[in-house]
Amino acid sequence: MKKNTSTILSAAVAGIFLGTAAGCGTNSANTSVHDVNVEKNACKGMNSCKGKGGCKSGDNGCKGVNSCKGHGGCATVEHHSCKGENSCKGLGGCKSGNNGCAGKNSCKGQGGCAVPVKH
Amino acid sequence: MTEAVDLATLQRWMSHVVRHPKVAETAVKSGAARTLIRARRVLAGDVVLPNERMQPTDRLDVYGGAYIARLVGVIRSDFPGLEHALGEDAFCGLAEAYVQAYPSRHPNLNQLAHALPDFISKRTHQPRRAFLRDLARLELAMSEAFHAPQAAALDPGSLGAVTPEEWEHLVIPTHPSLRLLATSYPVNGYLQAVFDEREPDLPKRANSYVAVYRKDYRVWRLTLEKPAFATLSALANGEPFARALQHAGDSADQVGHWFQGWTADGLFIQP
Repeated sequence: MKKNTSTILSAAVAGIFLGTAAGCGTNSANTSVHDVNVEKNACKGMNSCKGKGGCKSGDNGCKGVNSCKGHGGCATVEHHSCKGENSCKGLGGCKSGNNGCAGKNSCKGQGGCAVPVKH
Repeated sequence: MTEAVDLATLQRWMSHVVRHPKVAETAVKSGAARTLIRARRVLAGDVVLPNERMQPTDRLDVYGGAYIARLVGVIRSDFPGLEHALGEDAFCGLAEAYVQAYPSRHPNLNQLAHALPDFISKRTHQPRRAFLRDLARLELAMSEAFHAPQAAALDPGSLGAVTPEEWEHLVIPTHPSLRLLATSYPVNGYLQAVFDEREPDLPKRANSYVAVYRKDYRVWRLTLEKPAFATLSALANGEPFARALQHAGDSADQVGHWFQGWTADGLFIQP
């Protein structure tokens, strides 16, 4: 193996081991989270919802992924009863230790931060 | 007196009528519906009763319209960026055309929009078609990433005994939720601007590379430079470590940074 190839390989391996130590993604500052997508998808697609108008908009209807999955219940109102509900928004926020997003209001409920990649 | 329709037949007939792309008056006369229940019986009010305001077919249209509306709503819930780019009316037109062309075939509606990017590609009359297709690909990837199977993240400690020579040939699987997209438009930035309610203009053409993945039940989007994208794509395609790194370029620091982040974000799983 060429010297540079070996160096690159070593760097990649070191990165993998450092990735554990970091605990939180160093990519996070360059990463966006889409919480709204999560809560909607958590509700959507259940047979119980199919054709009946999506998921209920009650306070607990969208809290947590598991609570929606399988027994989210249905509403007779429009499909988007989850969309924009405060109870659904902001559940995920940004990763802890995410310097790019931590503490920014723009992270809450709207999908994190979009920071250009600086590689 | 007309013979009653058994429940199973009634259900199959109702399914045909409700899912038919045209109004109920046409749907009840379609071949599939007529083989189950004669249209004349339906129109005479023998199957679905009229009321003081609505004829039988009007009442059936409530269900037919709602069926399409619910499917369009399902698509809308996964494609807010696409809706923003198109505007509500054009988006609904697109979604309705899509569900007619690709009817729901699976009990799980999360799969409904699986062919939407391809559908957009084939709409030759669609303005900004390439951009919209890329945007739809990104949003579809987000939905797929969310619903992908679980997998335990790589524990690097388990690789402590791997020799340098073995590392060269090691294949490290990527997480099932990982989706890698090369796009002709910077759709990730556009989508983020939509989420941030910044009312973005449609972007100009520019190659862009994005990784979409799930961690802790959240879907993340990571814009990548081309070498990083190529390297991660090679790994995702099952290429051995050393071969995948041939795409990485010459900066060891950069490569180390990539792998540190990718590992921390759970993009790799146990070999």
